[in-house]
Amino acid sequence: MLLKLNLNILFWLQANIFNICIIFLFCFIQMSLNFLTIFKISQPYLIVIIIFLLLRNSKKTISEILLIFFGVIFDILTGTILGMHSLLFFLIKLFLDFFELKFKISKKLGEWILFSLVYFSSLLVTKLVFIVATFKFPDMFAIIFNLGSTLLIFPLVRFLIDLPKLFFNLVGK
Amino acid sequence: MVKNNPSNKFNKTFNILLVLLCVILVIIGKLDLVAYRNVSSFLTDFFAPISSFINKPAKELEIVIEDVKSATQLRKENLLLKHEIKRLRNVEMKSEIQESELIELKKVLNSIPRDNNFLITGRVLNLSGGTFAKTMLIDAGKKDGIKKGQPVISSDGLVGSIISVGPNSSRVLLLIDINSMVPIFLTQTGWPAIVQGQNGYLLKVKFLSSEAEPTNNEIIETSGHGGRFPPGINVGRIVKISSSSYFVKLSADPQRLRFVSVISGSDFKSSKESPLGMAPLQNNKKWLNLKGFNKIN
Repeated sequence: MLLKLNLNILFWLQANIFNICIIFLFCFIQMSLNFLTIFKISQPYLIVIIIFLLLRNSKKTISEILLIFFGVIFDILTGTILGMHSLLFFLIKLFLDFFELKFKISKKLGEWILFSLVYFSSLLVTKLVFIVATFKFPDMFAIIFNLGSTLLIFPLVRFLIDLPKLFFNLVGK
Repeated sequence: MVKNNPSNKFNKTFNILLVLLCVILVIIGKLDLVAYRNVSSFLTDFFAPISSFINKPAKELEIVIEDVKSATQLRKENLLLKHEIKRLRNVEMKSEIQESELIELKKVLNSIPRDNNFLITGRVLNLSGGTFAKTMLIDAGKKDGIKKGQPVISSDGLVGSIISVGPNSSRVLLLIDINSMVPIFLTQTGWPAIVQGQNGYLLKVKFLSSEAEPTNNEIIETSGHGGRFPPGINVGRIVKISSSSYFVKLSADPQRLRFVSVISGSDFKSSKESPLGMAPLQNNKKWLNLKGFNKIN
């Protein structure tokens, strides 16, 4: 039974290794954004964009447990209150399923609107939990800057990811 | 049909359980358990080299941006620097005179020198921002003599304080973090207050007397109250004055820091001595000279 369990874990790791590596790498890239003075007030959540795009485009579905695990790792690496990013990442998946299935927003209005709704809802809930946990109100300007810059950077990241595909399509023709 | 689907029901329960798990994690984080602290410092130490390696391109990019910016403003900057040199020469002359006066006055007051602190300097490994926490990781830890709670400074002023220590690295809680509070005083008007981070880039001045009227650009320094931070360290300047709330812009911009120093060696409170710059504690006056009564006081 133990062998079967080990094999299951190995198969799961093999299937998810790409997603794990990408999320792990972007955890560090997200942290490195802090050194850029253009993001002095706050930094866009590049990691959230990557998780959103992986959830929508990856062949293998990313499990909620994996997202919570990466949230914990990210919290430890950044020194944030434990569980904050776990909640944020998990809510991204939850709201993505909710908005896409119930309202079919991406079909009607496009991916950017879907991302905006998902990110805004997730950030709102997480911020409320943060306020309850710390009993302090964070700077609203920083939150709005973070929200705005993340939404602005989303099409750019999407384009950069699609760029090799577009290039090969052009070369193929 | 969708409502009665058993897999849907299972999904709902599973999602609720996961939300509960996240809330439990938040509670564990707030409890600040020793086990969690140890695991956290171990993992931070373990990932520090990877983090430092991945941060390098961003650091280099920032240097390039700075170079391009300064290249476009060379002429203007040159004129400003010439003006600044003239001003600083005057300041230097004045400060030399004031320094000698201060030494004499200290001798007169029989003040005890407090230079038993030493600095431990470390390189900044990473800065973690976002809207939840503002911390910094440095490559000096327990092995170098760093302890939790010690103040961290740079050449520009106060940066923050140590919140967790690993064997080879330490985490600094920056002043701009929402959990950071520092007792200060206004250097021109002399009023004491407390500055608190907001997870933004400005600090909010709290507990300032209603009689105080801070001026724009007024320098603020640590007051030394509470003994956590030594007195007289530059914190920043008052930059934004609205009707009733005041904000402070930090002197030491965390994003530009490459090296920081941890003040180590002693704590900054003493029962016998008062911190420099602060009035000595007054002894209780004995109003009644009755045996027994004064002992109670």
